[in-house]
Amino acid sequence: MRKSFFALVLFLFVGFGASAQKVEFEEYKLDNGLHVILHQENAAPVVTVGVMYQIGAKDEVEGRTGFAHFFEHLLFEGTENIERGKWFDIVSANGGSNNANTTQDRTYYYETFPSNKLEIGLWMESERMLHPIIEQVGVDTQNEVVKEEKRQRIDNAPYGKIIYRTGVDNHLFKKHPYGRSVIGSMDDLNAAQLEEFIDFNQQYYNPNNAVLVVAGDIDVEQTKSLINDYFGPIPNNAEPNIREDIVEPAITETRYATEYDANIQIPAYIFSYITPKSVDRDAYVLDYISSILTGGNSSRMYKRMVDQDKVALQVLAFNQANQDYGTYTMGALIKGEPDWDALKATMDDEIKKLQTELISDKEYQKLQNQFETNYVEANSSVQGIASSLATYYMLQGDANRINKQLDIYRTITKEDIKRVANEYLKPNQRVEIKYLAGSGPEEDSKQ
Amino acid sequence: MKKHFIYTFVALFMGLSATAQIDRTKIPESGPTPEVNLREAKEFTLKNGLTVLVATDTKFPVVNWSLNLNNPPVYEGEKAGVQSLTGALLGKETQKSTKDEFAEKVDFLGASVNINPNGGFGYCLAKYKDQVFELFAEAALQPKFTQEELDFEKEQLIEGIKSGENSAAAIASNVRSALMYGKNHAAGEIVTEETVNNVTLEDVKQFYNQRFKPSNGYMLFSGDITVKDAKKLLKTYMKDWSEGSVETPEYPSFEDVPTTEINFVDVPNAVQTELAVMSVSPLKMTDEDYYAALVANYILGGAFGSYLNMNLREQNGYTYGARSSLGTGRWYNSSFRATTKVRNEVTDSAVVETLKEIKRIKTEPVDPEMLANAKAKFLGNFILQSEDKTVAARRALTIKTNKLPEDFYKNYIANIDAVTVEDVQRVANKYFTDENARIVLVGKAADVLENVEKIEWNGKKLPIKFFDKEANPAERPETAVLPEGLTAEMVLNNYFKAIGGKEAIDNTTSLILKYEASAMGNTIISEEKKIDGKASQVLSMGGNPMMTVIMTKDQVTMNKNPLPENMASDMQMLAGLLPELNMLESDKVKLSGIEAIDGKDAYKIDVAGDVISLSYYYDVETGLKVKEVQNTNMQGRSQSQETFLKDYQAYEGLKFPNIRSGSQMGQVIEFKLIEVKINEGVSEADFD
Repeated sequence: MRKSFFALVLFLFVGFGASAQKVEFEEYKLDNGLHVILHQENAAPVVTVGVMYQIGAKDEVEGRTGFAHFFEHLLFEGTENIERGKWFDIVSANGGSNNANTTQDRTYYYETFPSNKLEIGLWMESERMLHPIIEQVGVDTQNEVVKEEKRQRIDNAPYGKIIYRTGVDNHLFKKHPYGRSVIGSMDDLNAAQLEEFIDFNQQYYNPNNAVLVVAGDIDVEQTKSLINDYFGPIPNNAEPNIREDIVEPAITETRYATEYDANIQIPAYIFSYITPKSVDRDAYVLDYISSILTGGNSSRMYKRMVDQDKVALQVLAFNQANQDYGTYTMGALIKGEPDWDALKATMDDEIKKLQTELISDKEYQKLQNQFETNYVEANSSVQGIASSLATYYMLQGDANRINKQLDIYRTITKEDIKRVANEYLKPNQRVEIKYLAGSGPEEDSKQ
Repeated sequence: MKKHFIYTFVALFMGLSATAQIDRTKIPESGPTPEVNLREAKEFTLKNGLTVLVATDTKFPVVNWSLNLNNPPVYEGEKAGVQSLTGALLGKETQKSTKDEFAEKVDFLGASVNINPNGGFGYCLAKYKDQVFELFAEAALQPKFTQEELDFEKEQLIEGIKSGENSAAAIASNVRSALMYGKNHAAGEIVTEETVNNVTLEDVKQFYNQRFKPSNGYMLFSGDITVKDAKKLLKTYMKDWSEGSVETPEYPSFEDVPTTEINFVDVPNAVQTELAVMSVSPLKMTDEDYYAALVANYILGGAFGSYLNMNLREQNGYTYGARSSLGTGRWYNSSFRATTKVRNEVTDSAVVETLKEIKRIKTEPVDPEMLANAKAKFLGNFILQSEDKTVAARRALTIKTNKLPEDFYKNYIANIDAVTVEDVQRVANKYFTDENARIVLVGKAADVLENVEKIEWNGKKLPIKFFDKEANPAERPETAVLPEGLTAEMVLNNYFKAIGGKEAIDNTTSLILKYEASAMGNTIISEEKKIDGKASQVLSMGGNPMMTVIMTKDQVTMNKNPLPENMASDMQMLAGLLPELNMLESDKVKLSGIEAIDGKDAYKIDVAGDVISLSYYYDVETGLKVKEVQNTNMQGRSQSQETFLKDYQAYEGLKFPNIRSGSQMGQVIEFKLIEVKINEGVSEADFD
C-alpha cells in the first residue's frame, strides 16, 4: 500500500516535470573564478562545449570599434598547442562541428562533438583561454576576412543597415555604446597595433570573466574532474569586466532620419523605439506585440498593408532585448511611389488599436500556441540549450531563467499588451527613418 | 599502522597532483565509441492492417507522427505526373473545410500537417494532438479535389517542366534514370507537358482512391504520446479507413552495359557538361557488405576530401564539386553514380579522371589514416544526427520497411568501426565498375564532342551512343564546318549591312530602346540608352526601378556600385551604340563555328572575357543577329543567359528586333520593343 502510494507520487512528479519541460543543470565556480554550468542529457551521445566571455562590442573604447568581433576571428588562428590553421581540421576529423558569434554584450564560442570526444572539446576551449597565439600574420589574415565579411553581410546586403542596425541604433542611442555597430570601423581596426590585441586578450579573456557550459551526454563527476584539469590551472590576468551603468536619456521628441542604401531600389519606412532590457518582463510583452503586428501572413499589419491596402510589398519587425536596453523596430517596404504621410497614418493606426483596444481571444490564444511551439523548438538540441544557459547566466544573471521563459509569456495578459503599447510605443518615443535607395549626401561627411 | 598512514598520504597527494598531469601538447584520446540510444517502439496492428509504432519520449511536450503507406513505386505511363499532381492537391482542401479555413486551423494551433499519395506527417504540441490529428485525418481521408485547383497545379507543373527544357541539369536528371532503368520503368519514366495534360480530375481521384490504402502501411508516433493515446486517436478519427493495399507490379529488368560506353545528349546552350558514371547497384541494407560499401563510397566520393573531389576540384580545378552515391533498393536494384558538372572544354579529361578514381579504389588499398578519418567523420555525423527526433523516427521506419534486424542501428557504429582496408577494396570491386559503366554526358556537342570521341579507357576507344532530351535514340548531332576564309570581321560587316548599312549607323549619335515584358503579374520595362562609348540599362518592375547598369569606357556600375575591375572590363564591350562596333576593334573576338538556331544555320562569334564572355549568333542567310549568350564565370560556378532576337523592323532606316526573348529566374520572358528614339533624348548626364 505504501509502496504503491510512493509510486503514484513519483509518477505525478515525473508527469509534472515532463509537461513543464524543465532543463536540469548544475553550476559552480572554479577557484580561478570560471563559472561552470553542466547540463546532463544522455538521450543522444552528443556533447556541446561552449564558452561565453563577458566582452562585447559595447565594451570597446572610442576609436577601437569592431575589436570584440575581430577578436573572435583572431581566436581561431591557433594556440601554443594547436597549429595555426588546424582548428577546423581537428574538429572535422573528430566528427564535430563548431562556430562562434559576437554581440553588443558578449562573445560565444562552441564545439559540438560525439560525446566520446568531450575531452577534445575541453582541451580546445581551454587552449583558447590559456594561451592563444596572437601574432601579426593572424591579424593580417583576419583583417582581410573581416573586411570581406563586412562587405558581404552589411555593405552589399540589401537593407543591411536595418538588419545589422548600423543605420538604426545610431539614431536611438546618443550616449550608450549601443549606438555603435558590432562590426565597427575598418579604419579603427587598421589603426590598431599588435600590442593592443595582446592587451585585449589579457584584459578580457580570463576565467573570471567567462562561463563554461558543457551540455549533453556526460558523466557529471568525470566531466568535473576534466574541467578541473583543463581549466583549473588557467590564471587570471585582470579583474572581471564590471560594467558601469550608462544611462541613455529617454527619447521624448520624435527624431527624424534618412538613411541611404545603394543595394536597394524599394524604399522602406522604419520606426524604431528604445525598449526595456532583456530581464524586464515588458520585453516579453513586446515579443507578443511584434508577433501580433507583423508575425506571418495572418498578422495585422501584413493583412492591412500588403493584402488589403496594397501599399506595402512586405512588413517587418525586429524586437531585440539586450543586457542594458532593448529596441523595437518595425516598418514596411513600400509599394509604388511612397506616400510617407499615408504610410505613417496606417502604421500609427495599427499601434493605436493596440493602445486602445484589447486583442481578441482568438489572437491571444494563437500567440500562446505559437510561443509555446517556438519555446519547445528552441530547447530541443543540446547546442541550443548550451547557448541559452550561458546567455541567461551571463546576461540575465540567472541560468535558471531558461526554465521561466514560458511561464513569463503565459502570465502576460491582454491588458499588459495594451499597457506596454501605451508605455513604450508613443510617436514621440521613436525615430522615424526614411530608408532610401542610392547613396546620400551625408555619406561623405564622417561623423 | 604508520606505514599505512604514509601510503594514504601519498595516495592523497598523488590524487591532488594528478589534476595537473595532462599533456596539453597532444590532441586528447577519444573515449570508446558511444552507442546511440534508440528508444524502443511499441507496436500494434489495426484491423485494417496498418502497423502502428509508438516511440514514447516525454522529454518535450510535442508529438510527431508520420504515415508511410509503403506503396511500391508506380509506373504512371501516359499519365505521368498524376502522382505529383495528386500530392499537390492533398492536404489543402477537404470535404469539410475550404483551403483557407484548413490552413488557418492548422496555423492557429501552431502545428504542421502534410499529406501525399503515399503517406504524410504531422507535428504539434502534445496538448493539441487531438485537434491536429483530427485535421490530419480529415485531410488524409476526406480530401476534396476540384478542377480549379487541378488546373492551377497543372499549370505550375508544366511551368516547371518548361523552365527545365533547356537546362542541362534538368535534362540530365531525367535521362540518367531513363537510360539506366528504361523509360518503361517506374524509376525511369519522364514526366512531360504532354503526359501532364493527359491527367484529368477523374485520374487524380482514382489515383488517390487506389493508393491511399492502409494494409501495408506504417504509422509512427513519437514524442509525448502513449500507446493508449495513439490507439484512441486512430479509433476516433480514422475508424472508417477500410483495408486495402497496392499490389506490387512486375518491374521490367535492367542490367549493366556489356562494356563501358558513353551516352551523349546534345544541349546546344550548355556551358557545363553534366557528367555521370553509372552502374547497377544490387546492394541491400541487409547485406553484410552494407557498412563497408557505405565507407567505400564515402572515400570515393562521399565528402569534400574524397578521391573524386580532391582530383577533379582540388588538383585539376575542373569543377566546383564531384561526388558519388551508392543506392540500395527494396523493390528493384538501385544505382551507383559518380556525378559532377564540369567546364565544357575539360569534359573528356573529367571522364578519364573519374574513371581513374573508380579504378584506383578498386586496385589500391586505401591509406589507413584516410580510412580512420573517414570513419570518424562518418560516425560523428551519425551520432550528431541521432539527436534529431525525426531521424530516430525515420530509422525505426527504415528497420521495418527494409526488414532489418531490430538491433540494426544499435550495432551500426560498431559495424562501421569494423570495416578494414581490405573490406573497402573488396566491396569497391563488387559495387563500382570502370569496365561496365554507362557514362552519361549532357552537354554541348559543338564544343565537346570532338574530344569526347577520342576518349580511350583501358586501351580502347569508348563507344558513343546519342540520345535526345527524352532519352530516345538520336543521330550524331551535326557539327557544321565554317566556309574557308571567312573572318569575324566579314560577319560583323555583313551584320552592319543587314541592319541598314554603315552610313545609317554613322549618322546615328544616340539611341533609346524601350522594351516591355510581363512576368509574375508585373510589367517589366527595360530602357537602354546609348551614345558613342557609353550605354545604360534600367530595368523596372511595376514602376519601381530594380536595376540600373551604366557602362562607360572608364567604369561599369550596377545600382551605382562599381563592379569589380575584371568584370567591368569585360562589360565595356557593350559600352557604345552597338557592341559590334567595339567588337570590330577588339582582339578578343573570334569566329568560332556554325550552329543551328531555331533550325537555321548561324555564324557564332565569341568574345572572350575574364568573368563575362559573350557569344553572338548571326544568321548565315540574312546576316542579322539571332541570338545572344552571356556566360558568367565566377568562383568555379558558371551561369549562362540566352536571348533570342526576332522580328526585325526598320526604324528611321535602322533595323531592330521587335522581340527579345530569354529566360529570367526560370521563366521565359518575352520583351517587346515599344519605343525607339534615334538622335534625341539622350544626354551625357544619363551616364553619370
